[in-house]
Amino acid sequence: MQRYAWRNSGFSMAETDNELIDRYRGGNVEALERLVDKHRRALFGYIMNMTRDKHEADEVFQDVWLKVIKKLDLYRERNFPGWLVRIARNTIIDRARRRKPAVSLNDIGGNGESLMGTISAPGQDPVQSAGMRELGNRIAAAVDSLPTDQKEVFLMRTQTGLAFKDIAKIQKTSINTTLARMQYAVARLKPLLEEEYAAL
Amino acid sequence: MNCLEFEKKILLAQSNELPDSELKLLREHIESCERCMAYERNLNAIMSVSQRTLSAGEPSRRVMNIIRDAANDRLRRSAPVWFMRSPWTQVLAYAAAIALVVGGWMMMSNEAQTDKISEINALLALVSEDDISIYDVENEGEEVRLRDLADTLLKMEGFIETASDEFDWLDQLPELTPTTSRSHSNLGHLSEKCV
Repeated sequence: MQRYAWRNSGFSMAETDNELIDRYRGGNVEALERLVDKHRRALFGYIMNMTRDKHEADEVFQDVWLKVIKKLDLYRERNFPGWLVRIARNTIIDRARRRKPAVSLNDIGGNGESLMGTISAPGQDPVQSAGMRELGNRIAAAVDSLPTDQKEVFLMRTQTGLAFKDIAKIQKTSINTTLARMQYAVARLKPLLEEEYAAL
Repeated sequence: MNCLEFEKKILLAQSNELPDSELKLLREHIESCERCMAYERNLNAIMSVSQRTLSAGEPSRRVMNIIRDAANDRLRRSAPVWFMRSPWTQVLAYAAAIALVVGGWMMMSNEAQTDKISEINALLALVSEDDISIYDVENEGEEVRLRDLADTLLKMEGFIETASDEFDWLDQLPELTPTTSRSHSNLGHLSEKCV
């Protein structure tokens, strides 16, 4: 597993986002490092599955945190993950508008591996990991085939754990519409998973 | 309520957004409805497998370092944020800035128009205006105190070597009487003698 040069800050896992933000505002840079670390996997998972490109995901992840750092003085919300995902979503949309069409998850990269090959399933042994990777390929393809609104709901829910009411706010729609989009996504993925469960 | 409506309740229950009162009703329905029971089972499986298989690795070390550097840079460049958050502290900050500018300007103009002697005169006048008008000069204690203060001032400015220098400035002063409007020019002869 990749490790970063973040210093061991000694922060408690129980420390809330707002406490970490207040500490950073008070001049403690380790609090911001802790905040990034806390949301790293979920946020990057959402971005990676939305963009389907490791390099693009890196760029979006970086942009999101640079915006957060810049605008942290203006942050008044209680739901930091929701704010984070909203910035990520807007960043993805802005970059997509300025960019060429997104590459496919199964396109071959410069290193000869498909982009999906860069997706890892931590904690798995090689055989199980290969099986999970195959399943991941299928699920990713199925998720990728969803309309963008449904894909967003599904990934926000599964990758970042946002509540439906927060997803509805981000998508600027009613919670009923958000739930309907999730219902549709689940209905699309259900036959695929039934097959996979039988195979596993 | 049909099963499609219950599916939405199942989604809300799975994300802990369903009130306890509705959760109880949902549980009762699921117990008696195979379709909803299957839906909940499938949903849990999809959530679990998707979370595991769609995990997307980690951002690169380069990106993490850029973010950390930006966080450090922001702290270095910005004023303490807690200070700027309150509108009152912002008003005070502006007032202090204005006071600094005006004060600085006044000090600069004073410096431009006075020399060392007039500075001493001004200081002495200030002392005499306040102290002598309040205290009786004939009071020996106050007189000594005033003399010591003046000696110290002259010593600070380099006009006498020690506080007990031969130059007894108090003898040169006109008669000091309590007054509320003493002019600096009363000490004009002192400056001539000092030079």
